[in-house]
Amino acid sequence: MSIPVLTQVYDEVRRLSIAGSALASGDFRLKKLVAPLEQAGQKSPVFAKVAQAVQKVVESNDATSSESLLELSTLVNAILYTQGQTGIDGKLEPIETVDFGLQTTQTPARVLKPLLEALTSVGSGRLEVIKDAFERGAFLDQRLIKPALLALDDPHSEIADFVSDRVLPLYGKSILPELQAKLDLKGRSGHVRRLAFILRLDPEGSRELIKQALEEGSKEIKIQAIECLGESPEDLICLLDQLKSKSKDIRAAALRGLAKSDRQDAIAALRSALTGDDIELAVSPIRRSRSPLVRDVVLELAANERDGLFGRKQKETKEFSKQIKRFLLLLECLRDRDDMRTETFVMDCFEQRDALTAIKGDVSGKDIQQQLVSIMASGSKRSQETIAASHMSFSDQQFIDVFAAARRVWSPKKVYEEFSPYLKFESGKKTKKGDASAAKQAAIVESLSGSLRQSYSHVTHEQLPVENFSEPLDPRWLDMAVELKNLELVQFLARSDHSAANAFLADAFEATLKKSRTGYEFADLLTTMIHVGHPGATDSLIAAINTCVKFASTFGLKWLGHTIPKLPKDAVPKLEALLPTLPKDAIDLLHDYVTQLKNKS
Amino acid sequence: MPSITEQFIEAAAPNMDAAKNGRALVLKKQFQSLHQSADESLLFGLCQGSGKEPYLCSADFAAPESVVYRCSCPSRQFPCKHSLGLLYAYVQGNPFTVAEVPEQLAAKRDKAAARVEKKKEESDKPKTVNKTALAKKIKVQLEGIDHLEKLTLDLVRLGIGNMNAKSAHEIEEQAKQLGNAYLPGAQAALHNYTKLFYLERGEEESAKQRETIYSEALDQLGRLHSLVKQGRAYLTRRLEDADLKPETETGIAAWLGQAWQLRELKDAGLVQNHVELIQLAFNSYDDVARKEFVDNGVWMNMATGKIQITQNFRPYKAVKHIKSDDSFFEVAQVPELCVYPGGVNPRIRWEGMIARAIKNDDCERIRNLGKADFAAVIKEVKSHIKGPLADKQPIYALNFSRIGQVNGNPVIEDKQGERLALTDEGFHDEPTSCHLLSLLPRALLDHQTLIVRFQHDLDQRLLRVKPLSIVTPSGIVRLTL
Repeated sequence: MSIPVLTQVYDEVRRLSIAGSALASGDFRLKKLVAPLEQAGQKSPVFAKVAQAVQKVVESNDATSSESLLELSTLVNAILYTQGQTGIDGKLEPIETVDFGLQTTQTPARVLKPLLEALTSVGSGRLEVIKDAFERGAFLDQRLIKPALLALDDPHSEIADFVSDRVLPLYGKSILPELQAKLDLKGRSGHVRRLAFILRLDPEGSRELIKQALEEGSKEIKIQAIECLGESPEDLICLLDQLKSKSKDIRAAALRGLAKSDRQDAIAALRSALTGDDIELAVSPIRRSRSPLVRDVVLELAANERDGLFGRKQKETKEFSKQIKRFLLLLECLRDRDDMRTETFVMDCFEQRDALTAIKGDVSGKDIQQQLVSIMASGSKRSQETIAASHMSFSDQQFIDVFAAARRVWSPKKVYEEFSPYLKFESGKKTKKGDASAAKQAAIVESLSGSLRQSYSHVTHEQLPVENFSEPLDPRWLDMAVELKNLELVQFLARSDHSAANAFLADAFEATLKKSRTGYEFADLLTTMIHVGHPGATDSLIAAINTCVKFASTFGLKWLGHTIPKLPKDAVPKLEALLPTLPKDAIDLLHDYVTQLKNKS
Repeated sequence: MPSITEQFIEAAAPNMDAAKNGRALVLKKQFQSLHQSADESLLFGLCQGSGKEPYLCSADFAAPESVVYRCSCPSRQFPCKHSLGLLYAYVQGNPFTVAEVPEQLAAKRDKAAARVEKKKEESDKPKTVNKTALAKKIKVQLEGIDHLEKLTLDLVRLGIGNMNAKSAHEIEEQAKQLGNAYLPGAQAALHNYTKLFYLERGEEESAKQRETIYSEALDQLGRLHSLVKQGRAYLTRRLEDADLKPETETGIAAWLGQAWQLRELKDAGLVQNHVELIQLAFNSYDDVARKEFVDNGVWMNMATGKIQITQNFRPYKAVKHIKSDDSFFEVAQVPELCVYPGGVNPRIRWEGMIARAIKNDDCERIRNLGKADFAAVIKEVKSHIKGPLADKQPIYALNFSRIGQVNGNPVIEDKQGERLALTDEGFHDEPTSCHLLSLLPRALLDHQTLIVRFQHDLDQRLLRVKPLSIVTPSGIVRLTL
C-alpha cells in the first residue's frame, strides 16, 4: 500500500481543517496528489476512492467544501487507523527489576485514588489522608512507591518529612536506584532529603556521591554531605577544605564534623576557629566532643583568656567586652564535662569568683559568674556539691542552676530539707531582700513545675537538652504544695494516690468550672486530672462537657473531644450514657472520640 | 439471615460519610426500636430523625443477591444513613426482637414481590409501543441530527485553528438543543470536540498545547460527521418502520443517547444467566464533556471469555446521591447479566450478585482465555478501530512470552516474537503503570497474562498498549486502580 502518498493527503487535509474548509476549494497542493492516488488506485481500489474524495474537495465550492473535506478526512483517518506501527525493532533486553516482594495490590480505588492525589497534588488536608493510609498499611503496594518518592519534593514539608521518615523505610534498599536517578545535586529541600535517605540506606556505597556533592552541590546539599563524613583521613581533608567556604552554614557543618575527630589537623582547625571569628560556630560542636585533646585546647585558651581579663584596664570597653564574651564562649565549651582537668579549672575560677564578679563593662563579671555557676551545675559531682552547699550565697539569677545541681548531687530528702524553706516565703513588704526571696521561690516553683523543661544557654542562646533527673522528688513537696495551695505546683506533682491533692484538684476544678464559659479556663486542670489518673477525671470531663453544651462553646467541646481517648477504657459506659442526653450537634462532635476510646487496645 | 460485617455495610454505603453518620445514629441511641421478621429475612426499626415522626427504615434480605433498603426519610441517598445505622446496630449485637412486619412495610414487600412477578409476566408479553409518540420523538431527533450536521459543517468551515475557549462555549450553548431533541449522546460527542479547546479549569489551551490537539480534533469531527450520517439513516429506518426495535448490532443507538432499559436488553436477547465475572481493572475519572464522574470496571466474563465493562455515571449535580463503584477483588456471581450492544468490550449491567473468593482455578481460567497470537489481535483491533464510531481503546487479555525493553521502551512479546510497545501516553485519566514493571518480581514478566488497553497515536501513527493488570496463576496484580 502506498502509504507515503496517503500520509501526504492526511497532512493536507489536516492543514485545511485547521485553516477552515473555505480555503479547500481548488487547493493546488491537494490537487497535485490526485494523479499519484489514481495511479495507486489501479492496484488498490481504496486509493481510487481517496482520489475521488480529493477531487471532490478540490472541485467543491463554499457550500459543499465542508462536507467534502469531512468525507475525505474520515476516509483517510479510517485507512490510517489500519496502518499503525506496532513493534519496535531491536534486541529485546530484560527489564532491570527491583524485587520488593509481591506487595499487596488489594487497596481499593476508594482509598488508593485519594491517596495518589494527596501524594501528587497540592492543597490542604493531604497529610491526614497520607497518615490514615499509612496506619491502614496501604503503602505496602508497588503502585504507591513512585508517588511516595515524588512526595519528597512536596512543598508541604511535614508531608515530605513524614514520607521520608515513615513511608520510604518500608521499601528498604530497593528504592536506591530510583532515588539516585532523581537526585539533583544542585537542588534544595527535596533533593537534600533524597541525599540524606541515600546516605542512610547505603553509607558504604555512597562515598563517591558524597565527594561529588561536596564539589558540585548546592549549599544545602553540601551541608547534608558534610554531616555524613566520618573520621577517616580522606574525610578529614574534605572537612578542612570546607572550612574555606564563604558560607557560615557550611563552615559550621565542617566544624561539627571535625569535632568528631581526634587527629592533629582537626584539633588545629578547631583551635584556629576558637581563636578566630568562627568561635561561635565552634562552641556547639566542641561542647559535644568527648576528645581530651579538644578539651585541653579549650582549657588552655580559657585559662589564657581569664588571666588576660585580670591584667586589662577595665576602661577599654569594646575590646574588653569582646574578651569577656570570648571567655564566656570558652566556658560554654566546658558544659556537661565532669573530668578532673575541667573540674580543677572551673573550681579554680570559682575560687576567684569575687575578683571575676568585680569586673565591670557591657558584659560584666556578673555574667561570668552566672555562666560559671551554670557550667558547674552541669559538671562534676564536686563542682555541683560546691555550688549546692553554698546555695544561700547565690542571687536569684543563679538559683535555678544551683537548685538543679542540688537535685543532681543530693538525696531527695536533703534537697527538700535545704530548699523547701524558700517555698514558704510569703511576699509582703516591697524590699530588695523580699524581691530576691520571691524570685528564688518562683525559681523553685518553675523548676519543680517543669515549665523550665526546655532551657537555653544564655551565651549562645542554643537550646540545651531536656534534663531528666534520675532521683524522684521527695513526696513531701506535694504535701507542701497542697498546704500552700499552690495550684501550679500541685498540677505538676499530683499523684493519683494522694487524697489531699485529689481533693484539692477536684475543688479547684469545681471552682473553675463555675466561672467557666468556654473551656479555656479548666483545660489545664482537666488535662492534669486525666494525666495522673485522678479518680474523678471522667466525671469532671462529663461536667465540663455539660458546661460547654450549656454555654454553646463549640471550641470547648472540640477540645474536650480530643481528651476523651486519653481517659481509661472504663469511662466508656458513662460516656455512652451521656451521649444520648446531649444535643445532636454535640453528639456529632463527640461520638467519634468515644468510638476511638472504645476501640483503644 | 446472611451474616453481615462492617465491611459489608461500608461497601453498601454510597460514601464513607453515610457509613459514619449511620454508625453515629446507633451511638446517639436514635433507634427507638429494633426488630426482625420471624423468618429473619427483614430487619426493621424506628429511627428518630430531624422530622417530627421517627423514620421507619428496613433492610430486606429476601433476595440476598440484591438487598433492598427502605426508609421513610426524604434522603436521596440509597441506602440512607438510617438503613445503614440499622445494619450497624445489628452488627454491633444490639438486640433485635422478632415482631410483626409493619403494615406499610409488608405492603411494600408485597408490592415488590408482585412487581417481580408482574415483571416476570410482562417479560413474557410483547411490549406495546405508542407508535405515534415514538414517531413524534424520532422526528424531533431527526431535526436534532440536522442541527448537529449544521453545527459540524460550521465548525469545519470555521477551521480548528480558529477555535478558542469562547467559541467552544458558544457551540456548547447551541448544543443544548441536542439534549432537548433526545440526543444526549450526540451532545456529549460534540462536547468531546469542544472540550479540547479549554482546560478543566476553563483556561484556554496554549499554542503549544493546541498543536497537539489538532489531530484529535480532526478525528472528533470525522466522528461527528459519521454520527450524523449513521444516525440519520438509523432514525429514518425507524421512522419508516414503526415496529423496528432499537439496533443491537452496532452501538449507534447508544451514540444517539439511547438509555437502554434492562427490559429492552432482555427483549433483544442480550441477557446471560448465571455468569461469573472477575474484575481485572478499575478506573474512575471526571468526564468534563458529559459533566459527570465515570466509574469503569473491566471484567472478564468467565463463561464467554469476553472482556466487558461496567460503567457507573455520577453526574456532578447528583454526585452526593449516587453510590460510587469501587475496585472488586472477588468473583461476582451474577444470576442475570445484561449485555449492551457494542463492539469488542460491550457494557454490562446486573441488578444483583453474590460474591465469592477468587481461587487459583479462576486465574488459570482467565489465563486460558487470554490471546496468545498478537498478530491476530492486532489485526482484529485495527479492523475494529477504523470505524469512526468504534471504541478507540479496546481492552484485551494477552498471553505474553516476556516483557522486556528495546532502547529503554517497554515491550511485550508473544511466542512468535510479535511485539507491542507499552505506553502511558494518551491515557490521562488513568494512573501511569509502565514504570511499575521494574518494581515487580522478575517472574511476573515472563509467561503471564497482561490485561492491556490499546491506543492508536494519531500523530505518531503507532498502535501501542497500556498495561492494566497482570494475571498470574495465583492472582491478579493490578497496575492501575
